[in-house]
Amino acid sequence: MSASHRILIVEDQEHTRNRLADAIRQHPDLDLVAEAETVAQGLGYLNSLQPDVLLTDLNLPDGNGIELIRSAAAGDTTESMVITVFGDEKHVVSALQAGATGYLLKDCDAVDVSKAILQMRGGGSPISPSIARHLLKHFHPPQANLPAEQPATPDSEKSGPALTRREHEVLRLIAKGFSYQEIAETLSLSVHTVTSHIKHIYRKLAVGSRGEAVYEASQIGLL
Amino acid sequence: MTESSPGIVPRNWRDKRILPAIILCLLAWLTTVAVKYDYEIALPESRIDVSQLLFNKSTDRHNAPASNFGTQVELPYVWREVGHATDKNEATGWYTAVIKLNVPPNRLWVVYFPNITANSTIYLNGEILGRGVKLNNLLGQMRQRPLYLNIPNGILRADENILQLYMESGDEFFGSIEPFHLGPEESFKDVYTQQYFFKVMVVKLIGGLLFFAALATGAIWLLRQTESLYGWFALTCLLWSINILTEFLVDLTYPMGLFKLLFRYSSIAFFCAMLVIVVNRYRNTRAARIEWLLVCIAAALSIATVLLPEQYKQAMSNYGIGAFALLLISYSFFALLKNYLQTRTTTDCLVAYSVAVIFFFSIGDLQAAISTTAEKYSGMTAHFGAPFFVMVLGWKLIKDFVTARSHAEELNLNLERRVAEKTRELEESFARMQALEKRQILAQERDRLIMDMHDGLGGQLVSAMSMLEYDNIDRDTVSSAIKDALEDMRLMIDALDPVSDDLAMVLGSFRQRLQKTLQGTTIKLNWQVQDVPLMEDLGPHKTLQILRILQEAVTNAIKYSGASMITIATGTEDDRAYLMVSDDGQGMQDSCGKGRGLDNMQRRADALNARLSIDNSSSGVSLKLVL
Repeated sequence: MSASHRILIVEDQEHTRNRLADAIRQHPDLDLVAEAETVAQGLGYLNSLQPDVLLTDLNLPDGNGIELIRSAAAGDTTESMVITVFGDEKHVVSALQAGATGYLLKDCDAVDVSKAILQMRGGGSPISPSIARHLLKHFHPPQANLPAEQPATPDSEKSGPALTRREHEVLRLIAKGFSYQEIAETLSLSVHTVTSHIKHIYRKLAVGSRGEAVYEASQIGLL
Repeated sequence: MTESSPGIVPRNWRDKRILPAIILCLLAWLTTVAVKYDYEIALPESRIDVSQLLFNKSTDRHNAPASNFGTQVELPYVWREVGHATDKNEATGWYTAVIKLNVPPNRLWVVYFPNITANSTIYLNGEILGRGVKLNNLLGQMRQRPLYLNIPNGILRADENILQLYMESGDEFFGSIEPFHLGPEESFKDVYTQQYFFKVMVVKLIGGLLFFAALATGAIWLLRQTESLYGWFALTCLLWSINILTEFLVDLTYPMGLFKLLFRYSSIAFFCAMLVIVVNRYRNTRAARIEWLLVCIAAALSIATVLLPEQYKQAMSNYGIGAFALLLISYSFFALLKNYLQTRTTTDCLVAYSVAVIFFFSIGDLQAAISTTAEKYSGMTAHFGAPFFVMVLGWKLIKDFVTARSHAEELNLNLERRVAEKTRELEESFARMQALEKRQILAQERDRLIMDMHDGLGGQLVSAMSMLEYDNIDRDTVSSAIKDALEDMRLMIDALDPVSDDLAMVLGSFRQRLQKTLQGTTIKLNWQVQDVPLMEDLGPHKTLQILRILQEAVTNAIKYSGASMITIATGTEDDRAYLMVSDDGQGMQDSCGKGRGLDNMQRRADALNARLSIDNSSSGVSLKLVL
């Protein structure tokens, strides 16, 4: 059982929680260690059980799942995935900023659930075209005359840090629905490089947000 | 001839301030009483009146004639009449009086002259007592000033005392002497002080008042030259103060004639012309030609007075300038009276009254000027008309100034209030419009959502429900119907994305889901989406129509074509963006071609104002939507 990934679910909707729990139980490499319904419960399990993966909804009865994600990110032993519905990319981006490294759609089937968790544990960074579109809006556009790998100087219009031109290109292509393989071919890169670009972008998102954490926390009612 | 000038202050402002009017009337009355009192003052009883003298014509100002030599005359006496001679030597002479005392006085005595009208030196028993005006300048401008000379102890003696006066008339060629008095100092001191006050001090004060009024109103005019009344009033006051100033000039270095032209007579002539202009401005009447004419006449009279031969000068100044002055002052009075009868305001009444006062006192002066008796100069009173005139008109001008300011402030306040009111109204109507707009946008969006839902999602859910009502329906069919509904809901969410003007971006999510759908099949997806120009008018509704056409086309291809590859491409053709879905299947059969699906696509394309073309062959179907 050493390869098994220990998972904590925090979700207040019983039906969704059960579906996710079933999907996890069905997979031999995944181990569901606890199910919680509230932020308080979740924080308790998070501290006592130290799971490998936190699956959390954002809208919980006693608070926001962002709090759990942040707490998990601070501990450095737990990876977080946010449970979301289709069309809610804005909250996914918030969760990514707070330190989440993946997301799950509520209506995806059992195979997708385990696949997404294992992909994340394997170092993958899931991204969808609509999330890419949100990230494009979040980051500064790069300046055209800069070398591909150099980030642009931030301007005042956008809140996030600057992307390199290459990262921007990758994001744009993802937003247009191209697969990693196609992007790699278009840009003459390896698929691995494309993946690492995505990871860099995620890291920038979290770094750029740290300064705004207090502001954001107060915005969502934590402080 | 007349035109009304636009002013800040309405002309017929009703003067409600009666109190200042009363105070001014009282002042006018006090002035009149004081003047009257001045000339009726009682002399002290213990005095010696001198009225019998011996007169000698002589130009020798240093050596007095013998005390018993000369013509016996009784004072008042005119020794020199106007215009009789031009020789100045004829205008000088000695008067000798013999005063008998039983005992010499044991206290200080004085000689007191109520009016000294010529330059004079006074001797008593051979000692000089003093001088009237400096002799060498031949200037007797203060023609009515009193003279008061102390008699040093020891000079008056018992029995006969010889009092001698050397007199020179100025170049007015008029010489006269009025009775004078000797008496104890304490009896005459008060009389002299009072006479000096009225005949010298008051005149100086009035001159100063006029000069100050000229400066003040002149300054206002300089700062605001549209207020011409202030300028003309300043000039009028200045001319009058110059006229009064000439009474006090003693040491002059230029010829008397020029002096008189420049100041004494011309100031009177120009003053009267200015007075008419002031009155015209005051009544808001303009008569530019007549005013110019009056100024020209004033100049002509002044020059004539100087250029005429000596013997006609006095007549010219008296009858020429005098008549001109009297005419203009009376015109001014009647004009103001008429004005008052029209407006009936206190101020207008007082202004008319003040000019009447000037007229009244000027008559006295003109009489004195024409007079050839010894009392010629005792009635000089014109300056007493000035204070009342300056006070009334000055008050009116100050009041106008203040009223104008208050009026301006009030206007400003009104303006501010109105601006604030308008701002509030604008804000309110803006808020109303915003609310209205918001309601409209919401209503439109609601209509659109309802329409879009009925068109896809709603219909699919209804058909899924009706399937469930049949008994022999299998779960897969129902599940597929609900999946279709979910898929349509996703399309609706995609269409709501703010980047919906970028077709390539909108298709991104579609591709991701399609990829998943195709995972379990052998069909490959060839994604040939290229950037197309932004379409700003696309909007959620049109985007949804495009996505639904795409969905329908792809669904058809998957279900019916038997293709191994589906190609989705975007691009630009003749500046128009297009979307193409093609497969390598066996093409549409007639039975399923032109079905409901195609009708729907065509309907949606029409709604988009886009062109839909379908190329159907045995090697596949190609569907192209040109936007």
